[in-house]
Amino acid sequence: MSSPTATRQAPALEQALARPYQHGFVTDIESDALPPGLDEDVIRAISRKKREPRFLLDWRLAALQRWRGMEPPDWARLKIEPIDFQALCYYSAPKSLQNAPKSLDEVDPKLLETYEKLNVPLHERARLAGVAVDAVFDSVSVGTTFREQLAQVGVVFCSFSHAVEHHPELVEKYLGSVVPVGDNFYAALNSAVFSDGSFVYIPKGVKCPMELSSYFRINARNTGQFERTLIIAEEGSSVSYLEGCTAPQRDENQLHAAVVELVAHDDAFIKYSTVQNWYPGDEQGRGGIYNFVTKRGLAAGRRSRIAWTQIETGSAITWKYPSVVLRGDGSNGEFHSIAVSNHFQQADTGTKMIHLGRNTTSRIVSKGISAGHAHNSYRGLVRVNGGAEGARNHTQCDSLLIGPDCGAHTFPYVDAARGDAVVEHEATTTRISEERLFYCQQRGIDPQEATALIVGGFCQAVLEELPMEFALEAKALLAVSLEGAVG
Amino acid sequence: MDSAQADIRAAREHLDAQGWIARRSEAFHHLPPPALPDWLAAHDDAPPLDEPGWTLKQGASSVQARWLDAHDPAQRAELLAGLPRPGAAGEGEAAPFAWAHRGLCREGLRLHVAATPQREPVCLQLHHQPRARAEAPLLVLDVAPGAHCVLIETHEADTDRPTVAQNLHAHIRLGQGARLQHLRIAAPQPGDRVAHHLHVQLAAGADYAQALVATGSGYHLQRSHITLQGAGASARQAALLLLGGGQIDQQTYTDLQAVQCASQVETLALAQGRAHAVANAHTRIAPGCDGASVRQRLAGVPLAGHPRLILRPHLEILHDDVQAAHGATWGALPEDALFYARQRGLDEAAARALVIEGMAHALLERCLGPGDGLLAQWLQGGWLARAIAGQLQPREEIHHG
Amino acid sequence: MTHTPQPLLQVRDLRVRVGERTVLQSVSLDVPSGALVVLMGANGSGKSTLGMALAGHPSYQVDGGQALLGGQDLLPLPAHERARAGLFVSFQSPPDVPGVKNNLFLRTALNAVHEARGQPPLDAFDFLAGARQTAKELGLPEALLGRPVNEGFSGGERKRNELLQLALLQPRLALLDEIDSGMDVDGVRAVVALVQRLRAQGTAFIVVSHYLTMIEQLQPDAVLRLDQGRIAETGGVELARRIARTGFARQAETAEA
Repeated sequence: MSSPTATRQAPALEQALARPYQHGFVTDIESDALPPGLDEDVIRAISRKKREPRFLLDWRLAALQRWRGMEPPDWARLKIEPIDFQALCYYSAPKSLQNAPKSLDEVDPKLLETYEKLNVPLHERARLAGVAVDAVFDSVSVGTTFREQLAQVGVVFCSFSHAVEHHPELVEKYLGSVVPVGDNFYAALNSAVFSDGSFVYIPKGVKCPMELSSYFRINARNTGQFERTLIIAEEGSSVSYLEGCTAPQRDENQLHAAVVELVAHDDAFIKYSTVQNWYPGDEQGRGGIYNFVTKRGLAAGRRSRIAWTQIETGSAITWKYPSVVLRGDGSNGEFHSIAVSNHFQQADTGTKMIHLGRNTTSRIVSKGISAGHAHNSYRGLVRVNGGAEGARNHTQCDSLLIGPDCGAHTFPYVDAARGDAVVEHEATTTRISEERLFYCQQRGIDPQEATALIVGGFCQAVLEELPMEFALEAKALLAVSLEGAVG
Repeated sequence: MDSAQADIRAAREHLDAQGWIARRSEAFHHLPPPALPDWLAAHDDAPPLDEPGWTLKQGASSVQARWLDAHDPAQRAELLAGLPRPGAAGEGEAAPFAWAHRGLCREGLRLHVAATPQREPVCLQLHHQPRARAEAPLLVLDVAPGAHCVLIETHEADTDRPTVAQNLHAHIRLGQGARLQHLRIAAPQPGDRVAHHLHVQLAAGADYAQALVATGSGYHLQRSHITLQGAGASARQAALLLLGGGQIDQQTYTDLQAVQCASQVETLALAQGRAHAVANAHTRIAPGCDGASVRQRLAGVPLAGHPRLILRPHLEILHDDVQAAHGATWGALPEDALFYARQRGLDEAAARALVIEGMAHALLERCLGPGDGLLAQWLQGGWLARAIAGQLQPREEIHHG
Repeated sequence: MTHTPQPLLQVRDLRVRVGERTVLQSVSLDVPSGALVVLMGANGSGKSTLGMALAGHPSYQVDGGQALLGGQDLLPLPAHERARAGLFVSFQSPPDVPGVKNNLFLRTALNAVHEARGQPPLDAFDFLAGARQTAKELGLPEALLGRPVNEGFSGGERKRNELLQLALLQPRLALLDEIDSGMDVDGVRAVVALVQRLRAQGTAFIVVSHYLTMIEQLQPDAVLRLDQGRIAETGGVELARRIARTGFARQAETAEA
């Protein structure tokens, strides 16, 4: 693909090609594929292809064992077709480039229209639509400068596979320390067969100079299915990580079961922001992606802080509860979320704040929007253990219903065992008031735009928490997700 | 074998086949109930009851009361007439309790309250005394359309008695425009295992207010399932949990099935020592229920020691023309109120007692209304103050940072 | 300014129902461009109903009659298109819009109207400059521009926010419902100044009020008294003065405007 940037970057491109990658952005994968099914042999094959050290193979095998003894979770509110795990392929070569669209002209016009509405830059549209793009070029034009900056301060930001090869001691130390293998069915599955993901390590005292985005790390195709991410922030360090993008993402794999582990030491801060717009299926709800994610942060150190911020508008089925374990004294956990469900989507999302240390605090702000025939459930747990002296939590959880056929459900759990804790949970469920809608209309704003305006206002508290890069696109994304919801 | 015995036998067989409450049960997993054998007794050799469990004090002609023997086929038929079979929709995971009840019930009381010509409230005082080591009492109350009934239902031990495993079921039906103010006092002995299941159905325009005052014990379940079937029905449920120790599992399920219905659920749990409580409020608004209004408020107040409380205000909303809000809080007594009382000359203990009583009274009044006659008598009669004092004697202080 | 042969607003035999109750039985009136008509009536006479029905509020059912704005049939149009055609109706109790800053709301509304008129949209800077100036003239603290619409605004501040919108949107016809409530003397003077300025530019006004001082300052072209869903009496400022003295005593005859 040619673009103005290409000609300017050409000399740099030559240079970069001559130099070996400092942080492996391309994982070496042989071109074989394994037959469908999951057993020890598949695990060994995966581990061998990735040239993993012994500890990791053992870890995967132990996970498989655990997984076999578990049942898929059975939350009453989600209607899921049973998944045949033996029919899935757990390792396959990158998709043949022969079948990919050759140019934007061959891409579904509706997809292009959405990119237009979300103001996705032209060169990104090609990549997102799966048009065959020179991967090396892409990484050079976008990634070179920032990789140098990171190297200067000692920040490690690479693929998980690369980390296994170059920082095995860190991986061995922290992998599974926040989400143990037996935590839940999908975490166990992920632990056995995870393909790749991100690895971030911030050394002591370093404030990462820029926001790290998963976009900068070139995804080898088909690695999105079982992603594994590990972020470690040493004492006094901080980092802001962005996952996903507003543009709708397709994938031929329907099941996504990722695991994200965050570890923050004394006085460290990790902010993890997600904008997820996985393909939700067609208007009848067919063919969408199932997004089952286990995300957890361990605020291990004193005064450590972990903040989850997310906008979820995609997937046919979403099941995720980004959580924080507040172990360090004075640690703090935050969760800010907007979850939109339209057409036939189902979302069961929320968070868990586990107060263990002394003087820990947590804050939850959740905004759920249901439209069409969708069902949106908030499931949140605030647990204050017996030793969590002086724990404080505040939760504000609001739901907005658009139309008479959708559902909004709130299932909070407050589990307190400590007399001096203060926990407050407030939630409201309502629809867009006719009076407000009419007020906007009387000022000339049409119903569609009025709804977008009101929904944006409803979500304002969360939008303010997003990194700038996402915040600007987020409102457009909300509007696009609710298209067709208002007559 | 007569039809009564056959019915009992069938219920027990069903229970054997289906099993007891599952360990994984969402509704019961925090405080799993004692195993099935605790709730049943071999019915073949059970002696006939010499005195009924239910005693009724009233003086109005508009009340019909029938004490019925569940072992006599004709009386059993009358007793169970019109009641849903166990496992009917709404019982959910508690269905095994209903089957166990069918398999053990010895006697029951059916009450019918008619409207009075002057539309005055009909006041009833109902007391239940356990009569066997394992029992399954039954109460059926029908409030006729337009009638207004005030019912005080007490379960408390006056004298020491052997511990009991009590699986009680009550079915309450309010006709169109009927009104029931229902005060329930459940104060079992520490060793008792008690499970009360109330099934309430409200016709159009009916109004049901239930205030529960309950204390902890070895096992204590208070489960209400309220269905608002007719347009404009309303239900208010308040629970005051006085927990010096022991445990309690309070579950309120409310189902809005018609337009313009309103539901309010409030729980105040005052806990100390090693008390362990779960307060669940689950309210469901069905599709099409225009104008639904739902409130839930669950509050836990730790007074001393290390009580543990789990609050679950759950909303399931399937319609958009609704107003729903809920809150759950856990925290110590309001500092400003305590300070104010101390400022006016009361010592620590008196200030605490005053604030606690005030909160308790306010909760009950919000639910039942200021009350006159029987209700007022009871509310101001001193039982509440005594119960609070008895359960919640000050022990160690909690110091706030 | 173009001279239109017909009045800007023509209402004929308008019949409006709210729920089961018919509030307006039959209302007819004409308001030419730049004219100002005062509408008075006892509580429940239907004053607010007229505005809401013309604006297209979903709770108000028009059972009969006609309304033309600049010759265009208003009643078949949805609410936002009536607004874009140049109709502004102030709300008696303007609702808040949580989380939506006043700036954003105003700019969105203004640009919607601009788009309908084929004018280019305003960017944030240009808009803000104009908005600040107008806010100042109306005695609205600038801080209110940055707050969510009407959230935490006093009654008087809400009414002033309505006027801010009126000033920025520059409609062809504005219906102001009790715009003086919650305002002090200075506030009322600012209202009058704004109304006269817009009137000079051709905006027609229907003002619902019973505040005589403001009515006199406005120098209305006509004063109408609404009674039991009809226009019972038409007059000038003298009618307003009489009503202020004697109240809304029922008259024997009814007159159609």
